[in-house]
Amino acid sequence: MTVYCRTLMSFPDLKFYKLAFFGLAIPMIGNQALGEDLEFNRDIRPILSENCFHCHGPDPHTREAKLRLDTREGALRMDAIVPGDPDDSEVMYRVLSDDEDEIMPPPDSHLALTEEQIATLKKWIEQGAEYQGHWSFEAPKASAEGRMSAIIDAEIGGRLDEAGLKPSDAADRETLIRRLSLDLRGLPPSLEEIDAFLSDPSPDAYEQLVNRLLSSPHTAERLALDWLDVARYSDTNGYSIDDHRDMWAWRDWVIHSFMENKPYDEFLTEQLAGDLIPNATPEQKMATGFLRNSMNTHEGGTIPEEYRVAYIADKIDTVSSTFMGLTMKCAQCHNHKYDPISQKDYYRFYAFFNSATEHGMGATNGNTQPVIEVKSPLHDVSRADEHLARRAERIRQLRRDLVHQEPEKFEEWKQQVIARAQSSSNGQTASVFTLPAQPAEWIWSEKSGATEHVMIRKSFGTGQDLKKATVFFTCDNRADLHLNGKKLATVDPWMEPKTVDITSLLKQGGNVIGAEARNTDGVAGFIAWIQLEYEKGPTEYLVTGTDWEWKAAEDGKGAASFGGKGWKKVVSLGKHGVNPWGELKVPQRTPIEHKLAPILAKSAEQRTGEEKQMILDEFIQQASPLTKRFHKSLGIELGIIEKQLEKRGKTSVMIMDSPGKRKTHILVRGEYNNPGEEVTAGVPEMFTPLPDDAPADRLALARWLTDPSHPLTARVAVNRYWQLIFGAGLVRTAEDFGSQGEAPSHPELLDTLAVRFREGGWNVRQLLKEIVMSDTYRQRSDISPEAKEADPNNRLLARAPRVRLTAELVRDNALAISGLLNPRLGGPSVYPDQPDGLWRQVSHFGYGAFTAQAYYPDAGEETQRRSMYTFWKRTSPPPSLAIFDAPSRETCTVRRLQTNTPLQALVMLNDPQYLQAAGGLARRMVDEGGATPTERIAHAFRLATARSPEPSELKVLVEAYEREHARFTRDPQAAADLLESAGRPGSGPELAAFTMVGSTILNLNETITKQ
Amino acid sequence: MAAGAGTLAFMGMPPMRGLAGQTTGMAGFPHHEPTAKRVIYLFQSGGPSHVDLFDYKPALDKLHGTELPDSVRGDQRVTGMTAGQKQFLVNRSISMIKPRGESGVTVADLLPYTAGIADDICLVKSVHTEAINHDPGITFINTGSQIPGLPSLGAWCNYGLGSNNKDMPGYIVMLSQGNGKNPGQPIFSRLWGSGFIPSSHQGVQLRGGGAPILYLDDPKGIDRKSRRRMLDDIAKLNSMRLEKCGDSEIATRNFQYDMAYRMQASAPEITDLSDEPESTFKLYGEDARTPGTYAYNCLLARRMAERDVRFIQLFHRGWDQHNNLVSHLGAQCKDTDQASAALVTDLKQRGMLDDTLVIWGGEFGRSVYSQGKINAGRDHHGRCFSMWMAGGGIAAGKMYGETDDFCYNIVQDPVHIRDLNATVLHCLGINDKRFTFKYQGLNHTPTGVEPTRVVKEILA
Repeated sequence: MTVYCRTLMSFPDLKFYKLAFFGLAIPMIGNQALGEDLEFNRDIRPILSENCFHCHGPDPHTREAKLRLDTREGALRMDAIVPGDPDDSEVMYRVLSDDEDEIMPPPDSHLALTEEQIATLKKWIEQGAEYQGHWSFEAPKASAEGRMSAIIDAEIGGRLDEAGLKPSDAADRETLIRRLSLDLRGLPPSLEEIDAFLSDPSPDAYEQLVNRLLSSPHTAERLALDWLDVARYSDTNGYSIDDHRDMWAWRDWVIHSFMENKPYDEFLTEQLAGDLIPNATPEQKMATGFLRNSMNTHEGGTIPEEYRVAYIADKIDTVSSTFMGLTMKCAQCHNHKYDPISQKDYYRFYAFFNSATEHGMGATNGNTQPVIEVKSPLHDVSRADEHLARRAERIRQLRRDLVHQEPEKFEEWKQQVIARAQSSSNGQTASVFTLPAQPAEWIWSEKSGATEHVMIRKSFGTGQDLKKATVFFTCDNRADLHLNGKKLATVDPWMEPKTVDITSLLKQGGNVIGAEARNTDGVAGFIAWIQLEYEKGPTEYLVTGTDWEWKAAEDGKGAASFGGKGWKKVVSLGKHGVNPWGELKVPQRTPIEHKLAPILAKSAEQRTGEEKQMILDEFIQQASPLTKRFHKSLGIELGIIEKQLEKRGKTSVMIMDSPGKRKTHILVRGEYNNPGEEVTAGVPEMFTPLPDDAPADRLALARWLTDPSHPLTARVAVNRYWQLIFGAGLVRTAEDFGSQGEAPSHPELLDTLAVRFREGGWNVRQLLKEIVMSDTYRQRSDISPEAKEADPNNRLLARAPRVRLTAELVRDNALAISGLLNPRLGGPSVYPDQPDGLWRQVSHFGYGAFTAQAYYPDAGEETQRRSMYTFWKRTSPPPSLAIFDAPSRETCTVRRLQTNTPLQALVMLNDPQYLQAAGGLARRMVDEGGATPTERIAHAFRLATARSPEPSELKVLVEAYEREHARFTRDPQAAADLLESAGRPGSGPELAAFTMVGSTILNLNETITKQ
Repeated sequence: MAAGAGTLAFMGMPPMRGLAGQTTGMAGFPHHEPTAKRVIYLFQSGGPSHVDLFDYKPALDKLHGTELPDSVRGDQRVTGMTAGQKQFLVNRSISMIKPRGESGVTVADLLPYTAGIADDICLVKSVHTEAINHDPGITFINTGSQIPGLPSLGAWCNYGLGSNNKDMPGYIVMLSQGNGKNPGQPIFSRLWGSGFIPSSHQGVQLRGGGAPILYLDDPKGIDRKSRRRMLDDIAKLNSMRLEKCGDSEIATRNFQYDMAYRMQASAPEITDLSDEPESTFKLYGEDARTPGTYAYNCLLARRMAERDVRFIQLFHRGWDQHNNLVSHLGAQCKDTDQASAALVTDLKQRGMLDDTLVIWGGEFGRSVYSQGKINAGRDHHGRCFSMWMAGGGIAAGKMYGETDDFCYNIVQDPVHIRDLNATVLHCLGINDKRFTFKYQGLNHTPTGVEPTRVVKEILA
């Protein structure tokens, strides 16, 4: 479906071959002075990969002039490179040529090698043009022994020495505890924790702190949060209607795995192949939800196979990026242009996932098969059922109070109803139907009993300015009335005729009214009047008579359709008012206004539940299509929750299965309907193959990935944890360890960490501990002008990094500082406040019966849960998180980019959630901060930054307090308004002024920065 | 000082401007002299019917109600909605299509106002796409791929060219819902998303009701003066830290807070229509007074263009006439016709059409055969459909591309949607294939890896 790599024009077969160049040179780290020995992987491969491999690389199909430069053999065979002799090397001739037909890169690529790159190439050829295998495809070797943290310091220190830089001093304890707490738990330290650490005299105080933090369940949450991006976790299906799915129990499984420090190899194996592990537990099976997090669709008109293929392609992208740092998706349509992955390799990999029964057409409002019903591993701590019950009650509440969705419209309607009630005289009954002067005839005679069950119909049109249409009918013995395929009402017995308002159901063109009638014995009869009232002109009546048609009904066939053949004119049986039925009376009823008016006159609190329901029903009927939509949509949401509740603690999770029947073919050009050669499951040819003694399934794939000889798995994992702590990986392109990725800044360190990680039992907690125990981690983060000049991106780590918190942690941090955070773990996703209407504006709200089309915020404690629990809708992700660079979770994201924008400022300043945090912080200042404004402000400052403010800082804040206090004293209404927005209804200049100061502190760059 | 430079430089990215960034874009942009400074993209979501609105085929009158020949349909992929249909009856246009103006550009009676600007627009009748359903179709034309994950066209432009307005984002999106099919097919934030390029380049939604930009309004109890003082305090405190720790990202943050403050003033200015004379509402229609309508959004688009917002995109839903073709298509046209034409006329009168590129169109067209009974509805059709463009270096009063007698297959001058996007970029001074962003080892371009062709024939 999508072609990811670029094809260049082909070249005529010339005497001299050409090299095609394109792309931009990547900035090289560790660029060596040209006097030194050059290293292929570090210095040369990036130049060749970027500029040459596309046409002279691993893919034979696009190879030009039969020349390949990715192997030494290939380059030497045609004298493209003559080791030791740049002048005789065609490559040098070409890059230096002035001739348009000869120069590389060719002019139409608009590119050229830099002089520095040309000099590097030349020097390398002079030095003998030695090649190396691509670094990441060769197994890592540990190059140092001893404690890992010491190895980190030795490796980092060594490179700093070479560059003539010095590491920074150790950071103070306040900085360290905040840094550690944010890095590991994703939450700031409490003041008690800070004080305890500051006063701890023991020599291993820091290590104790690290141990304590690592075992915190919040650290498990924070590590899981990182995994949710990789695993493209979401609460909705993703494509098109994007209704909800239930994968939160899988998310809980991830948190639980980190809580028990599950070894990474098991973590990987269970997610790829938990279902295939012998005697698999339900937890192991549910782990494969990792693969099922792919988006899916049920858009009408979808060709299922096209999307089934897309879901598998997404799994390959996720698995290869996440575990191997490989961009395998490049080989979906053709051989990879840069890395030795053929299209055949791709489809052999594809075969691992192709056997599952997952269908291309996804389910509606929930999970697509195969699924498993399980309890979340966090069920007991999350109290999921209580949560769901609260959610159900919340939805019911919203449904009952729906009249408040459109307050202006409701008010208008209310006044109209009251006015109507007053204008008609009190107590008098009125009819909504008047019988015409010429009544109808009873139709349908059934004396023989041959046809007990008939259909009766009439087609009719209406005039232009129809105001109201009503149908009045009854049947001996019983009938269902239908209009335009929709069932309206049933009448039984015949003595109680029904009146139905059909105004909103009529179409201007043709309408079909029909009845499905039954006779039990004796005579049968059906009679109906349709009354059409117009804005102008007289009321029109359509009555039963010989222009109606009938036919015998076939049981079992849907009566909804009144089309088709075989209709006959009905028999007119008898006049209205004559035996056997006599005269029908139109039931009179009290105008609804008279019932409603007194209820509407009451305040909302005084109304009973029944009265509220009555108001809502009538409002929906009479006045508001929007409220009608809300009512329906809330009903759908409620139904889903009630179904969940019936499962008593269990919930559905999508999983993988493997009946193994489906064959796999290479898909030519990646097209789902263009199968080529048949292939069997296997791993890319460049790697050690799967063992012969086990079936080539996902379990074998997982075992292969975690085999000690695998060159990538441990490196990629270690690199991502390094990225988590330092903000950037040792390989900055954490998603790409291939030829086009960036080389590691400290290759030996990466390899040693990878080997030790694997040999130590894939122990994630241990790895994190060793990283944070290093002196490198414990440095100050201040940036000196000299260090910035020498290493602007801090790749050499002469200081600790300074990184803005990620989206979720920005909010979690504010909630924690203000004392509002609800720390409960796991459970169904929650709905904190977001601006109204965002979902409805893009969704199918109002059409069909779909979940997650309108956002219904929670109230109370659920609004202050950690952000990782916020309900994630892929087509409209939580806005305040998206503004802070959270991805959409449509596809696998291994690395977030960070931006710094005015919209972020607006979130921090004005999002009600942050105002409430400011209000909470104000409350804390007053309640716990001491007696004076100065003490209270210092308290809040310390909550936010873990340090005491400098006198100059305190001065600014205290002056702000006094200024705002004076303003709110002058303007008490402003104080009341602010406090209401801040969730602290009340009054008084003091709390309002502290709220302003609280907001100022929450907005400081330092508050949202790990430093 | 480059806003946002700190963090991104740290992450190994080229320096970025913020959402309301500086006046210059990436180094080396534009690639050539642009003919358009800005784009207003009137996206008609759902698939407007080229058969009923633009593609003039008198032959259909005779063929009306007859079976569409197999030779015309060929091996076309049909959506699951009509794949099972036994008959494929030719359904002529429900509205009279005629040559209009001096140029003879063909427009249906359903679009009287658009007919009135026939001499200002270029009608491309041979646009085509491979997608057959909404989600893949609308994702394809907006991001260059049917599979989600890539940046939108607007985000690319914003990234490459930057914003000309220092108080407003460079890419603004507005949504509306038509009366023809309500609700229309869902749309997605990915359609204006930034994919793998930094999120500061994604489209910012300007909303009809409430605060025009999310979180724009100060809470009650904070007036402008106290907000200013608070921001001054934040800047002061941040600067003290900057002096201590030397992190230039802090300076950037101060800059962005200042920008936010200015945006709080400039965004409501755009939505405050009190300075518009009565003649404006005569031109755009009375709907233009109502926030959230298509007409209102068109008027806002002009006001943003006046303030030099780079890329303005409207999404109007409801063009998916599988059924109720006659009434629903009529309602869609009524919602959009007058305001679309008014925008072109208005820009022209103000002398802004010369450097503003206006685009009108959806993700695909509709089938000439009826879905169900005659005049009941039409299914999706990607093999050919019509879009129009005006201004910004596009030839006026021109038609390009020809389809067969059935508006079914292109017989001359095909324009793939990526050619169309390449042409839009060309007008902005960008060579789509030289515009790259490296992600996952690949140099991605706005139009993907397939070759593209700038449709030079439609340039002025």
